[in-house]
Amino acid sequence: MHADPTPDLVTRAQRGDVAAREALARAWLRRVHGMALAVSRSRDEADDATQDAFVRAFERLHTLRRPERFGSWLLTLTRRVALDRLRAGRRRGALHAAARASVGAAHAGAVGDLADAFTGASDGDAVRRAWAALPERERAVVLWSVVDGATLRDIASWLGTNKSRIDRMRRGALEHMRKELES
Amino acid sequence: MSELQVPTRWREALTELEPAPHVLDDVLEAVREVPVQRPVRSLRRILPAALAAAALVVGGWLLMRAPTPGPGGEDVNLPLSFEAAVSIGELEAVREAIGPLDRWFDSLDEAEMPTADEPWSVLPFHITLPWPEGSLPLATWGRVKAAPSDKLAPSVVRYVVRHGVTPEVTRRWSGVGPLPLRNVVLGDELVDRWRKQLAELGAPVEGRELRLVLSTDEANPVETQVYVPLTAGHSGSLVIGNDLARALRLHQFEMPGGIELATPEGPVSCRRAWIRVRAPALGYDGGMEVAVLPARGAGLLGTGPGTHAGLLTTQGALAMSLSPRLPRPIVARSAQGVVGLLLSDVEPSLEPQRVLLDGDAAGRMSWSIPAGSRAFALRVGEASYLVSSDIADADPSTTDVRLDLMRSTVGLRFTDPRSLSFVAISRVWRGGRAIVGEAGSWLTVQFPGDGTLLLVHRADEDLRGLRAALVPVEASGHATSGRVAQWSHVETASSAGPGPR
Repeated sequence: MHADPTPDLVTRAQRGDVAAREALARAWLRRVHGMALAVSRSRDEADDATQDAFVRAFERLHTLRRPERFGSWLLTLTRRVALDRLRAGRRRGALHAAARASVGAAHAGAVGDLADAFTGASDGDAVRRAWAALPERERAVVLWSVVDGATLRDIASWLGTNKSRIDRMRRGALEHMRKELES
Repeated sequence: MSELQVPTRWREALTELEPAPHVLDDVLEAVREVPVQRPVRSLRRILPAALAAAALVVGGWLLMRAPTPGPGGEDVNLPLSFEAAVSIGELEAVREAIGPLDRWFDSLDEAEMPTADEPWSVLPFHITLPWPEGSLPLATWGRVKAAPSDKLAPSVVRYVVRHGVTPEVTRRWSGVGPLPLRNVVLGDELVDRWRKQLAELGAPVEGRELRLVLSTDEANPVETQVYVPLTAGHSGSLVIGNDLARALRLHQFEMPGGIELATPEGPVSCRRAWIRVRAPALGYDGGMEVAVLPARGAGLLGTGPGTHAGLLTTQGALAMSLSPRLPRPIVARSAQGVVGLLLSDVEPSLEPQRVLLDGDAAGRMSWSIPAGSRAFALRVGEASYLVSSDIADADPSTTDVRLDLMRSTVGLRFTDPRSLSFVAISRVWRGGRAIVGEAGSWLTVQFPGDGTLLLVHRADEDLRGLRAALVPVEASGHATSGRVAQWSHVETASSAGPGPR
């Protein structure tokens, strides 16, 4: 079993090692993008949020005192960035009307928008639409576990919860997707 | 369904959600341009260096040592005084005092607020956190998350508790609750440590004293020394005289509430503040609560040279006791039933604190606050709110509080809007809309009384970073549970004059 190179990369990046930064970006890109995609209302927004999240992370990397916590720190930051973009987009759209829009509605809208992006008749679109209909956190868990191959333990540590909860969340998400596809 | 049972077509479909190649290229290009900032040095990391420095200091003490019989009968040289460096308001110290944290965030936002499927509680509580950076860290203890707000009278945090997780963690406080800081000691622990050292060596404590070198941050360098006699009768909290506290600008790091001293001459109300104490020779580095005596209580510390501070005596002639208390309300009532509560002020010599309220026929209220006040809470019916700033004048109405940064006769005038800390106490402030202006413009807060709760905090030093959220409250009106239903409309305005009402 290889040791997790992340803490060492973080330490080097904190010292200004650009190569370490790039290595971190490569290693965490899919997970960060997955989190951004789980929150955002479109893939374009997720792409932008991903870039913003990495920039903000490296701007603030000096404040990270425990390199071994880089993953959860980065993913939490990513979620915040994506949510900020969501709110900013809402404000841009209708400044005053946005004041009356709830965050919950914004999330619901994001889910709907993202689901609408998969309008094709293919099996893939149906699967992605079922995935987009999941709650935000479950979307991230499914992406990380199915696509990225992350272990339940890793995901639990990133989300600050325990492995069994992630397992239940993942099972529930997949079950919801199955029902969605069957319906 | 196990991981292996995910249908292949699902896996393939979801794999297409991976980021496009250009995303990585964009990210790599962007991160290369981010300027490097050196990491904040952890106390744990610098401890070896600190101990090495302490060794140098101890070297200096060798000149002061006097022969003392050791346990084996041989002479042991012990210092007549130990030195402890006390730094005021160091963020790192606060972090260290809190203990190991899972994560830190530099702002509080809905990312950590309730979600539809995970109810949370938002509870207010007080914590001894001086927070000089003006940021809003979010701390996590396992499943418990706490979000300290910035400089609310001066340090109040909202406590966000996550439910539905086994074991469920719920902590509730009202007023000045139990301090959740670990590693927080009263002043006597320092002395006890030294006593133990001396006891192990069989050395007497008489004639020894604890020398505290108190210093503020580099931006406001003030340094002085305090000698705390180390006798067997001392115990309790460290008490600092008012003059010394003023010289150290300790008011910046005061916390809500106070310490009531019961003395033979009657009760003495002390303010509370937070300091960091570093005493490497005693193996101590942590936060410590201190009691700041009012000006009229200076005599309790004695009249000798350098007696600017002391330890409360639990044995001996001057018996004192500690009892945390809420700030004593200084209340004035008007015909409209408006109650003002002045939480604290900078100049204790202004006692008794006064809040004068007066109402006109239109229901508009005005008050005058002693110069130097920095925290003011106003209760209007069931709604209360708190303003912490350099307040000169104020003129709210009962339904529409207008904070006008331009005019001294209407609203609140702030000497430096960027230092504005306008924070609603979540439990009590019902409200709706906050419009935050740039320096020289205006801020309006309206209270629709629609059963929602307004939380306001700043994301950064810039006023434009102030954000607000609406949280539904229970029928009881308490913010014991709920989720963010709506982030407020916050717009910036650069009007040269007063904004619209």
